[in-house]
Amino acid sequence: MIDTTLPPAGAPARPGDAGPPTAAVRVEDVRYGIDGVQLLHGVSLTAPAGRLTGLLGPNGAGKSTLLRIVAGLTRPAAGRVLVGDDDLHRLPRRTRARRIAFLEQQSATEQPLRVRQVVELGRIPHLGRWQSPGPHDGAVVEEALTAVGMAGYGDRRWNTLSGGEQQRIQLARALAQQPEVLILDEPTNHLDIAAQLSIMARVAAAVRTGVAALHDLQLAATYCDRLVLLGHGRVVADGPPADVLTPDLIEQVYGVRPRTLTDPRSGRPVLIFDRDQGPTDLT
Amino acid sequence: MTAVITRPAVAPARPEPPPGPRRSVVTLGIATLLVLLLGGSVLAAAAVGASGLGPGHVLQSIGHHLGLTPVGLPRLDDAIIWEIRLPRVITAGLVGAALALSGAVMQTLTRNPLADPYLLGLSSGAALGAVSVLLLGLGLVLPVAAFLGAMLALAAALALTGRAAARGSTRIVLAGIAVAQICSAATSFVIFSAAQGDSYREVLAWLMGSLGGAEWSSLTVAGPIIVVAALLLIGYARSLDAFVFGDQVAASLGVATGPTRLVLLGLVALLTGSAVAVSGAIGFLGLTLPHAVRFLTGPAHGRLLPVLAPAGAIFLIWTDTAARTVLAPEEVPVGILTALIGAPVFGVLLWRQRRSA
Amino acid sequence: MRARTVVPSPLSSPSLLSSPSPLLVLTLVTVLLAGCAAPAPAAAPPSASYRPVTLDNCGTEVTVERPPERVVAIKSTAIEMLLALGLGDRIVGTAFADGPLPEAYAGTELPVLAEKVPGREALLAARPDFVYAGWESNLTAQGAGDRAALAELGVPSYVAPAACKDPEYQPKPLTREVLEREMREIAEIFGVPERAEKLITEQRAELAGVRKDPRQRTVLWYSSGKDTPYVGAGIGAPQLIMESVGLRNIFADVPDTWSSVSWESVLDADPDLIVLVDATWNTAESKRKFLASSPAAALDAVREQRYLTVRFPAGEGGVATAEAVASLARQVEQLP
Repeated sequence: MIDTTLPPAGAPARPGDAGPPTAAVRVEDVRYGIDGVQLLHGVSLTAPAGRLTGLLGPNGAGKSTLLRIVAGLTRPAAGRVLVGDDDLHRLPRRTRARRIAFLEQQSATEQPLRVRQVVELGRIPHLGRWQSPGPHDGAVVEEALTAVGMAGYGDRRWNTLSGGEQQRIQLARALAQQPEVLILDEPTNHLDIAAQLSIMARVAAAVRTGVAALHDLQLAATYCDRLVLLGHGRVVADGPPADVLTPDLIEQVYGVRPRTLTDPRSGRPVLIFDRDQGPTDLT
Repeated sequence: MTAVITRPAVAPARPEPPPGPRRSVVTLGIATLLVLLLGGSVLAAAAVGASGLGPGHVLQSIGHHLGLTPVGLPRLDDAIIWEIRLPRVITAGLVGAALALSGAVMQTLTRNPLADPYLLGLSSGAALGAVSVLLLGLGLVLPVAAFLGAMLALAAALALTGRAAARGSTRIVLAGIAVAQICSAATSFVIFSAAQGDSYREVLAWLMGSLGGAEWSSLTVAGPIIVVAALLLIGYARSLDAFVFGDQVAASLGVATGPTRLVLLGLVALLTGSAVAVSGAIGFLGLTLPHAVRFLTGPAHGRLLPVLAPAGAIFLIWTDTAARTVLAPEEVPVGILTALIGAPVFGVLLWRQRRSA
Repeated sequence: MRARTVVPSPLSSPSLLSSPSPLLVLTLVTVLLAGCAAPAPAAAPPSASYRPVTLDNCGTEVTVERPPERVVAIKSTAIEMLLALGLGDRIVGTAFADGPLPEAYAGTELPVLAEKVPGREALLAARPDFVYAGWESNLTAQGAGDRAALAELGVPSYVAPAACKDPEYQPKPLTREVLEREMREIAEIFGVPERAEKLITEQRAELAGVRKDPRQRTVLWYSSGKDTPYVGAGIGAPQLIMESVGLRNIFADVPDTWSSVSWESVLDADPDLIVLVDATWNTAESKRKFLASSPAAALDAVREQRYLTVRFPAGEGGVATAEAVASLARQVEQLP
C-alpha cells in the first residue's frame, strides 16, 4: 500500500499550529550492567527538543539498552535521564507514560483488535481505571490516524494490515499518548522501502523530540537532525549527520569503510559501500 | 515512462458507527441484562430436575426459607429444592463465571489463545489434594484440600520460574506444565495404589468435574471469594488491554508489569482454585467461552469481562441442568458435557476465523 | 407427620417451564397450600413391641425410630437381603442391580429407580424413609447422597458391613458371623427379628450339608479384567466362600478383599480350578472365551475347562453367600 499522503519534510502536522508539546531529553552519565557484564559505561547525550536524534552502532553496542533506559522502561545503575527538567525515573509511571511513548520494532498479537482499538491503547495513561474513553479521546485517536495517513482505517482489523501499515498504526498509538518524546526501537526493520520512508517521514513530521535506534545508516543520514554513534557502551561521536557519518568513524565502530559524498540538494551525507568492503578473504 | 499506479490513500470508509451513548453505558446495559438473565436462569434451572418438582415448588421453598411464606414444602421436597438444586445451581453459576474469567485472563497474560485456567498446574494440584482426602483419608474437608493443593501447585510453579515470574510469560507456562505433570503422576499413583474396589468412582466423578456434591457450606466460603476476585479482575480490564502487545508496550503505557502480572495470576489462582475445590476439574469452559464471547463483544477487556462472567455462569448452569436431567435418574459428570459441547464449538470458531482473518 | 402434596410428581421427565406469570404462581401456591391443609394419611403406628434401634454401621451411627415402610435398596446384595427377610413389599425403589433376581424370587416385580447409582434428587424423589446400600461408595455426595445429609433429612441409611472400607470396620477376614450380624441388624431395624433367626437357621443347615472338596484343590477367583485380572483375594467374600467349599485360594495371602494381580502370578500358581463370576456386564461366557485366548490359555484349568460359575451378587458378602457355597460345592463334585 503506497503511502501517498506524506507531508512535506519538516512541516508540522497542521500548518499554523503552535505544534505539540515537546521537551529536550538529556542523558547524564548513565551506566548499566547485567550479570556482571557492563553494557553502558557512562553515556551522556542530549536529544534536542522537537528534533529527531538517531542512535547508531553495531549489535552489542548498547543501543537497545540505552533506548530502554531513555524510555523509562529500565532503571540505570547510575546516572539519570532528564525530560525537560524532570528526572524521568523519579516520575510516577502514568506521568511517564503521558510524556514518553515507545514504538517497538515489531508488534504482534493474536487478538482480533480493530485499528481504532489499537490506537486507543495510547489513551490508557490518560484514563482512570473505571473511566471510559470519551469524545476528546476519540478526537485524539482520529488525529493520530490522520497524522499517519490512515484516517478511515478505524474499523479494519489490525491483523489484516501489511507490516508497514501495522507499524504506522503503532506510531499512531504512540502519538495518541500525546507524548513530548517519541522513543523508537529500530522501527523500520522488517519493512519494505516505501514503508520505511513513510515511517521515518511521519516521525519527523510529528515534531516531537524523537530518539530512534537505527540500523540503516542512510535512513539515519536522511531523516535525523542529530546522530549519536555508540561503540562498546560508550559514545564515540555526537553531532549532525555530516560530522558523525565520516569514513573514519564508521570504520572505527562498524569495521567497514564507506566513501561519503554530500547530497547537493539536502546537504546530507550519502554513503557508498564499495563491493571490496566485504570480508577480507574474498578480495 | 512507466505508468504509476496509485491507489487511494484512504481506504473506502466503512460506515462509521452512529455516535451512540458512551460505551461504558452500553456495556453496563448489556451486563445488567445478562445479570437479570442470570437470576432468571437460577430460578428456572432450580425448577428442573429428576423429581419433577416445578417452579411453584421453587418459589414456595425459597419464600418459606426467607420467611415470606408461612407454610413450606414437605421435608424431602424442600430438601430437593433447598439442599440439592439451589446450592447446585448457584455453585454452577459461580464456577462458570470464575472459569470463564480465568480463561480469558490467562489467554491475555500468556498471549496464547489456547491457554486455559488450569495452565499453572492449578487443577492438577487440586486433584492431588482431592484424592488425598478421598483415598488416603487425609483429615481435611475436600474443598479445603483441593484449594490448598491448587495453591501449592501455583507456588511450586512460581518458585520454578523464579525472578522471571514477574517478566515474561513462556517460562511460567512451562513451569506450570512441569508442576501439572508431577501432580498428575502423583495423583495417578495414589489412585492406583490406594483405590479399593469401587472408590475410584468417586474419584473419577471429581476428576471429570461434577457439581453433584454442591452444598451450602462450601458455597458460603467459595462464593464470596469468587465474587470479590471476579470484581477485582474486572477492575483490571484496562491493564489487561495494555498487555495485548506484550510487556514492553504495556510498561510504556504506564502499567507496572511485574506486580500487575503477579496480582492477576493471584486472582486467577483464587478464582480457579475455589472453582476446582467445589466442582473438580471442569474442562473446556475456560478455553472456549472467552473465544465465543470475544466473538460478540470484541477483545477489549472492558467489554469482554463484564459480559463473560454472567455468560459463563449461565452456560454452566444450563449445562449442569442437562447433566442432571439428560440421563435421569442418573447423573452425568458435567465436565463430560462441557467437553462434548466445547470441542465442536471450538472447531466452529476456528473455522469461522479461518475465513475472516 | 409428613404432609403429602396433592400435585403428583412424575419421577422421570423434567418439566421445562418458562418463567411463570405471577397469576400462575399464585394459583399454584394456593393449590399447594390447600393440599397441605388436607389431612394426610397416617403412617402405620409402630407395633407395641418395637423398640427404636441404634447401632454403629461402618462408623456411622444409625438410629431408627420406627420400622421403615419405604426402602430404597441399592445393589443386589441389599435387594436380595430384603427379599430373603420377606420385606419385599416395603421396597419403593431399587438401583444398581447386578443381575436378574435369583430363581427363588423370579416373577417378583420391584420398582426400578435407576440402572446405576441414582442422583441425590432422584433418590429423595422416591420419598424413602430408609436407604440400604450394598457398597459404601453408593452413599456419597456424588452418588445417592451423603449418609450424614440423609440422616438429617430423616432418612437413616445402612451399608452392608461386609463392604465397609474404613480400616477399623472392614472385616479382616469376612466371616459368617459378620453376615449373620447383618441379617440380625436389618431384621431388627424392620421389626422382624424372628425372620432373621429363621433365615440363619436355614442357611446354617444348608452349609452343614455341604461336602468340602476332599482333594483341597487350588482355585483362582476371576472377577474381571483383561490386561490385569481382578481376582478374589484373602480377606473378603471370595475367600470365605472358597474356604467353606474346602478350596484353596491361590491369592489367599493377599490382604485385600479383591485385588489386581498379574497373569504371570496366576500362571506361576497354576490353579486347578477357576471360578468365573457371572455379571450381566461381564458374563462368565465372555470370560471363558477370553481366557482361551489370553496368557492364561497355557493353564491346564483353561485347556480342560475346569470352570465353576458364581452369580455376581452371590460373590459379594451377603444373603446369597450360602447359596454360592452350596452351588460351588455341587459344581466341584460334578467335575472329574
